[in-house]
Amino acid sequence: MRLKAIGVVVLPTITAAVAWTVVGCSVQRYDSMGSSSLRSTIAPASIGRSGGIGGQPRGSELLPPQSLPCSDDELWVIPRQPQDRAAPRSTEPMPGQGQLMARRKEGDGQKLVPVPLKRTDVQASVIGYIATVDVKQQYHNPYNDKIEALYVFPLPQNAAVNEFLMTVGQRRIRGIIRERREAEAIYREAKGQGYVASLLTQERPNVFTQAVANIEPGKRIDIDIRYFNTLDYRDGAYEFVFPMVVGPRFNPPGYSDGIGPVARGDYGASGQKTEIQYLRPEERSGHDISLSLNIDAGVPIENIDSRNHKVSINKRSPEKAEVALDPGDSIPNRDFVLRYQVAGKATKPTLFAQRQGNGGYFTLMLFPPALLDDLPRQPLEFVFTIDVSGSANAIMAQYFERISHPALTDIAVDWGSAQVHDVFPKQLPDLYVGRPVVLTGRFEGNLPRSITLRGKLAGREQRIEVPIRQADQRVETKALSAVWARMKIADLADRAAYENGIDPPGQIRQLALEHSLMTAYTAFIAVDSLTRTSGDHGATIAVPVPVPQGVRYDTTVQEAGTVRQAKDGAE
Amino acid sequence: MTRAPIILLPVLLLVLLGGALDDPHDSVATQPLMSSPRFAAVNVYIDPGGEPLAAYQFELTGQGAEVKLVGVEGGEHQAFADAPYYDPKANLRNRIIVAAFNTGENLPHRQTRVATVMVEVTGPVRWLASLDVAAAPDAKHTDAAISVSEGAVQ
Amino acid sequence: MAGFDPNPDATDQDLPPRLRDAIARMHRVEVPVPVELDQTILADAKRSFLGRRRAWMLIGRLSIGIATAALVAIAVRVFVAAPSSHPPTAMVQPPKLYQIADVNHDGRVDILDAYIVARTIARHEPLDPAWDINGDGVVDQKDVDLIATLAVRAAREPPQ
Repeated sequence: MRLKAIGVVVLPTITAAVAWTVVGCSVQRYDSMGSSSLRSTIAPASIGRSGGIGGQPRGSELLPPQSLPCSDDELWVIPRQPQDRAAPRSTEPMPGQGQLMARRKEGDGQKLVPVPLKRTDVQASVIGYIATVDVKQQYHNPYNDKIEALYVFPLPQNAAVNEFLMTVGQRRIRGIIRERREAEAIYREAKGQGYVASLLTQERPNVFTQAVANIEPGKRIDIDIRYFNTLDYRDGAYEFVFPMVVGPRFNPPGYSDGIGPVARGDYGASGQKTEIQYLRPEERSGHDISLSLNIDAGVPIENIDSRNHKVSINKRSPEKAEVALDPGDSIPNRDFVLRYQVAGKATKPTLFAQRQGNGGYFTLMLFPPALLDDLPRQPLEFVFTIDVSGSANAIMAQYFERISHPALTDIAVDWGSAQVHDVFPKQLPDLYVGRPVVLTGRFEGNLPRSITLRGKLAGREQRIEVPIRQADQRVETKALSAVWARMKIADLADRAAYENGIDPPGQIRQLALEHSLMTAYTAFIAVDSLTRTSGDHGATIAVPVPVPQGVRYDTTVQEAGTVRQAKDGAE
Repeated sequence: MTRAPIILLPVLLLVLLGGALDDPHDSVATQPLMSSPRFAAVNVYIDPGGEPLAAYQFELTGQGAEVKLVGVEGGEHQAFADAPYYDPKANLRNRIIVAAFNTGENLPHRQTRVATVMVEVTGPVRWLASLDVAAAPDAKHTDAAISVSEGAVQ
Repeated sequence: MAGFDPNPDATDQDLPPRLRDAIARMHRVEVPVPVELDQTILADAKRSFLGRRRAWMLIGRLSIGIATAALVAIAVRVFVAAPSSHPPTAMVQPPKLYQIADVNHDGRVDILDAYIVARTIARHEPLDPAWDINGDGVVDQKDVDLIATLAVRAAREPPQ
């Protein structure tokens, strides 16, 4: 009986659908590109005019495209096979290919090598502890043939990348945030068809890849990226960090989804999905970096200090400062770290809010109470700390000492009458001296004048009234919503490790598309559909970077055809 | 014997439903089963008819094809050279609203390209644009006209 | 194969076939069927046929329901939500946020509202406190950006 039901209902439906499709295909012929079957042909003049106030807007229709070939020849579409990334392939320019910058720089013994990335300009603005950072990357083609530039670069771990702009000559094209695979497919198609296109993807929360296709010889293409993030507050000082180079990292044996360090030109040598090419010790690229930072702390600033670079500092007022990287210190081989202290030992919690109608977004930085200087040591469970930064043992010892003395544990925030929801982190971490916690969330209605912090100190319940000082609302409009969305995405990714029943990729993707955010599942794409370059899309040239200062090239970078020997001489 | 028509009736109606949902204004009778994607630049022009154009807002719809937004470019006049406002979520619906304004004095008075929308298109497409706002510096609507073209700038 | 011969003494040569068959019927052994067995079989048959009938009735009703829904959908699609070359632009928007953002009170939020605020700021003219869209206490570029963002939002909420 079941078979009979299937036969009577399902088969006719399938037959009808197939017949419908077949009939449709037999009418439409994909022949000449000049056929009107592909696009409508409409007069260039407008059809109507707007009717003034309250009038009905009129529409207009479209001219046939001019940029497509019009031929009676048959058109064959042959899909390009994806490149085999496992096969070692050098991206060194072939003999005969011009190199505008292949020359030796006298005096320092270093060979200047041509790279597609000419310059990076960073302009940052900090209001309170919210940073808005614009990064402009200038790509150019120093060769005689078209190239695709590929650049793997870092951004802060909590960066919420929100805007993307591609500049081709005088023309500025704003990029679009799309689902990652879709954006990659669009980029591949545009690249294959000869259009100038750019794609920004995320490999890790703090590692990104910028690809720019079809850069013609001698031409320049700029990519502008904007991100927002919250500053760290450590040991009494705010810390603005701009990472400049991705350090080599360990990839477990058999793992291919990592980030592999390889020598310049040794594309594919590591077998990893993402690779960073490093300059050899005797090489230098012409890639320079400039950085300027405007600080508006809202309170008097004290003791501005740059850890790794020479900077110039201009104090415009007690609460404002302009900091700029010294032009002579522009080699991007170490992170830019700027620390500045603000006045007052007892730092008050500061809340930033961005209203949108009835509610909005907020961030709140919670500082541990200053009275808790003599804190008893708390019993700990096993704590496993994995340090991938290569930092010294002294830092780890300091860290362990700190986590043994929490200022407040089992923390909960009583928001009173305020309607607050979607607060992250969901699980509030313990408060440690010198280590505030940043909360972000959404609210409806009005925010309270104070909140209550509840927690335990040495096992005893504590209630601390925390007045809220609503900061000057000069924070960028999109900043707080982007910061909130970024933290929610991080929370979703964390929960995937221990919660069943949630779909992190789907939820993250949806949230990221709503807020135009870069994530592992979304990407920015920009295509200049107006200009189609001729010829093959050319070689892919990865931008090589210097090995981070303090890291040894010979022990960390994989060279093709070499086998690194262990200290005991075994292979 | 009487059961067969009851079963086949919804099937027939569903087939007809599919046919009824075809846009009657499509200039293309049918669409190909498979089309390679192509890229297009849709240039949008506004002719303010001699009045200075201070603000504009238009809606662009691509009918009949799968359209993906891949970029938005500003206009040719300095007043609208920066990338305009648009809804990032609009790229999911074959429809985009674009708008911009300029509070300065250097404004276009004649037909000007105000924006170019970069798209990836799969299949034949029919572009429709409607002008929602065309305003002079005094914030009054003007009698402006909108036109669109695909491809190289005119 | 050897068949059942009720009359082993008879021979084919002796009797006409019709007579022979009649005699064979007379001697056929009737196998009695218990009443209960008969009723059981009959009940099972009734259930089986009834089940099939119910299934087909269900399919029939579902089909009619689908057909009706399809007809309604077609009618709605063709007569009510007809495709238009002029997509609606002045859709009614929800109160509060959109009402506040409707600076010129023309019943919709569009770029003109953002332009009016931006122009007033640029000319250093007095600002209407009602233009504080984000409620931060000042009327500034952030309010302009927020209005413009609402103006170009493609999916607009239905009225409340």
